[in-house]
Amino acid sequence: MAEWTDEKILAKATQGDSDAFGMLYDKYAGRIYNYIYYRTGSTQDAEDLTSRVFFRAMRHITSYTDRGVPFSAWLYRIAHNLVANWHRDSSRRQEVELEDGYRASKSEEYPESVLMETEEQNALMKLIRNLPEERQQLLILKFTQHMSNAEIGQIMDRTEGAIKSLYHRTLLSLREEIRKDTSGQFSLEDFGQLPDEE
Amino acid sequence: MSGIIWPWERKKVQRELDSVEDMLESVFKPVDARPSFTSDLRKRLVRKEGPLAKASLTTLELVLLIGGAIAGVLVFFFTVVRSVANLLTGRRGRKAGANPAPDKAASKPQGKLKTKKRAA
Repeated sequence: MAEWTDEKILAKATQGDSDAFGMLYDKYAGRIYNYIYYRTGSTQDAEDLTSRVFFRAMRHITSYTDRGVPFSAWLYRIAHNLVANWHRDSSRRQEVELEDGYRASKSEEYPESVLMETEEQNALMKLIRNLPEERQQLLILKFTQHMSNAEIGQIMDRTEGAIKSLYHRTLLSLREEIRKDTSGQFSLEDFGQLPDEE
Repeated sequence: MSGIIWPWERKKVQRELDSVEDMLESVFKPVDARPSFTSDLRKRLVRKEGPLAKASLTTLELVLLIGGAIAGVLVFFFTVVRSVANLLTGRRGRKAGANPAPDKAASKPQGKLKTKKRAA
């Protein structure tokens, strides 16, 4: 089955071939987990939601039709919907710092986990969490999945230009928030003069 | 504010945005899921939800359906038999009721006593 192309795997999977679906899982599980992890900030919720994404995909794979949107975009949309539902659940809406998640995962010994070392990164993550949901989604897709604006547009159902513009506005607002930040968490050497110095 | 970028500020703003991008790059480092989680989920997906599992599930459903139907028919049959039997035993009971009732029989000696008193 090593010579199987993505299209063939997908075609087999849509016919109900569980081995083919397993191959799709192998390909996308890590990416979906990363996406959900950064959207929720919790290892446990990321695992739970990743499971749900793939079970939902499994249930609906036979009705999947290629309409020019890649399979990955279809998966990310499922993930996005589940994460949005998760955020709507007000009882879970309390902020969970990523660092806690990392610590929890460290104790469970994953060798490749990355520890958020600096306070600057934590502070920046807090700022990101205060951004509107679509902006968070955009940043996560761009930086954890290294997607192009066109690919992100397919997932978020927007044009490439709209994503480019949204990304620029997101960077500007983050820059503004960093400049406003008075906690001293950010090293602003690259930011020129501080606002009160201007 | 962030909305207006004057031409003479453009380079500076771009430099700052580049720094923000670098910071974002350092924040969003790839995270690996627990290997046990990914392998367990794979097993659950491929085994339980595969087409073969689906076929066995429908077979199981069919067996349950037929079994349930047979059980239902049997229960109905025995209920009918039992009710008929009750009817029959009820009739016998009525026939048996033609004999003097125990309380009536018990009242008879009293009558005898009365007659004895009268006789006395």
